[in-house]
Amino acid sequence: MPAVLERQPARPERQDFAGGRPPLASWFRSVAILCTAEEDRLEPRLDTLLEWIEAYDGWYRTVLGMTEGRNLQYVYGREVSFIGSFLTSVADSLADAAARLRDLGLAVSVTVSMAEALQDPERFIALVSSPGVRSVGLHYTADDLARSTEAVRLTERVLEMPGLSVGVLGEAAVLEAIGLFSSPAYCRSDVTAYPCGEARDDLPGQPSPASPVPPSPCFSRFRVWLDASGGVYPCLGLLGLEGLELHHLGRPWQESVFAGRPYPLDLAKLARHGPVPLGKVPPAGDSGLPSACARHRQEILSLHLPSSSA
Amino acid sequence: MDRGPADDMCYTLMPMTWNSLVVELWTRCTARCAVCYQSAGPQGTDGKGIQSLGVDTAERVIRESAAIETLVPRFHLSGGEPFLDLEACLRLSECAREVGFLDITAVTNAFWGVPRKRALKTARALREAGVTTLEVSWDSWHRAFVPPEAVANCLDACHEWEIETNLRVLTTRSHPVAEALSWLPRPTVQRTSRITSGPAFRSGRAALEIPEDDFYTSRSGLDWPCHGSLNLTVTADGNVYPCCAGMDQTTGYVIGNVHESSLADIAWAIDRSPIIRTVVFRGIVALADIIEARGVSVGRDYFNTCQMCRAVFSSPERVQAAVDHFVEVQGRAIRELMELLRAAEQVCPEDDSRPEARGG
Repeated sequence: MPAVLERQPARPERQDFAGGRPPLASWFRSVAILCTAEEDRLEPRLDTLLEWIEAYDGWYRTVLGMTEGRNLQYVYGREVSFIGSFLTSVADSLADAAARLRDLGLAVSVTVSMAEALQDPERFIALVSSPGVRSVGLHYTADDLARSTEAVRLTERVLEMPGLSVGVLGEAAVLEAIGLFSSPAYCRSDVTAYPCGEARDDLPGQPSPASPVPPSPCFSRFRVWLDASGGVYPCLGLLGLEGLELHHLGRPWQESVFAGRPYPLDLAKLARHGPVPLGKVPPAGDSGLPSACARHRQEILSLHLPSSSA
Repeated sequence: MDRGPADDMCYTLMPMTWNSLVVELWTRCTARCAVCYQSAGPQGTDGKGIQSLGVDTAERVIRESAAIETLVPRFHLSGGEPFLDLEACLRLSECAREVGFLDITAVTNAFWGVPRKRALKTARALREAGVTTLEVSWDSWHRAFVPPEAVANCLDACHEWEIETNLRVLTTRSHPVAEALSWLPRPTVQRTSRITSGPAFRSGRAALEIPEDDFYTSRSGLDWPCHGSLNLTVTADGNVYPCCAGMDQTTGYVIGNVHESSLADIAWAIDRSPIIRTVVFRGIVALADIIEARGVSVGRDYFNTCQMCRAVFSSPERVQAAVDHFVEVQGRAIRELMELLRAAEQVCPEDDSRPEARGG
């Protein structure tokens, strides 16, 4: 071992147990927005949204002690994801937003349908080339099969953009039929494909587990989710459920769970242990959610009120 | 990539954060894939043979990791093939859960997926031990050793027991993603949580056994710092590295070994290594510039940063050049500090207010 390595100073004693108990706030490091654009205007309104994200960012940094120089590691990997329809129609506004968010230290991710991207490929490319945009999600449906050559060509252009991380979503059969998995540009890139879009929970001809499946911690699925109406939720599974908003855009920050308003579910317990199944509930159907989330949502819906199951 | 004051601030101030604790339990594997970056096989790795961390040591390491402030609560069990000893996998997963890890994952080639009953029984045991995600390696090279039926059973059984799955596919020009997926039933592929794919690159056994013209030659940038993708990695021989993407296969610059020090102490020392900090916050090219300024060649003919990093830390000559540079820098910094102190003394030669100066 080189001599320089043998002269390491003694490590100070630490009492923390951060491997097991990171602060709850650290699991809300990122924001995802399910948005829609109408008449070239984004919903929720972009200016309101950015104002809210700035307030949330201030809360995040303060709660974690970053403003006092502590817990600086929680600054890593933060992202704002825009997911929705007609985002290319508001490409210029989104590009401005990405630049503003970059100044806050937040990377931007944009997820659109391939059909939408193909409507105006150059505008789409301009959007994902914007400074601050670090990742792109492309969602394919069976409708894209009719334009598979163009779809693959546009995907390849995106894959070859330096510094951009790319994910593809859709039924595996559609992704395959379009020719994505054979494309040399796809195969020479680091890409993640997320099969989705058809029933995933039923396994024909196979029995369900005889015993209940143990709950799964929610922490990796937690992020701040906003819907087009401005509701703010802790995860995709609870999105839109009455009484389970953390906040609502346009309302005073003091009324938010972030500012101390009590929340009907024990988020810390959900993060560490996951939702405990209450018993038999109606089948969740094809929600596209992970099984545990779909089940939790169904349970809450079946009770018609916010659950304290966590 | 342009560097600015923000990068210098990161280099000086930011702590390294670990996306997971990776424990490479042993070097043995049921398969001997041409593409294996570890060059693993039934007789261990081609270079080092059979090595094993030991389950007791692995358990101690997991418990010690709890003191690491910047470790994300994700535990990943790797090999070789960790499922050669299912009981060890279950014990370590339970230990990780007990310690407080929330995301407990493992990688496997799914050799245990036949018959289907065994796959279901194994998936159930894993889920009950706290495993949340299984990464399944599958491509043309694995197919030579593992039947597609085993992989399909493994993925289906995980789906049934709500273990997320990540099908990991490596590619070359003659082996696209589509080929690997074509060997699996379509409903199984559809049920997979995600499919991550990427090109094999020319290092380890792949450099010897795969024709050079079969590798993709397009390159990602070499200039990216890797502070966002670090995993605290303990290899089968006990060495500790900041990632499991290639540097863990080198021995040119080892900060510590868990058989000699605690994991928390080693993680702390890695965070303070100027060589590692240069790679992590400024990029491997920045370290290469330093090495080349001392007359040792590194070159830039690499597929990506990980391959370049592996090449740098595999070479004792390159490592020594980097070490010499930072020893000099540290020495210079101390000399400058001493000169400043001497200059300050000359400006204020005597402080009469000190008690001893007043004869107190």
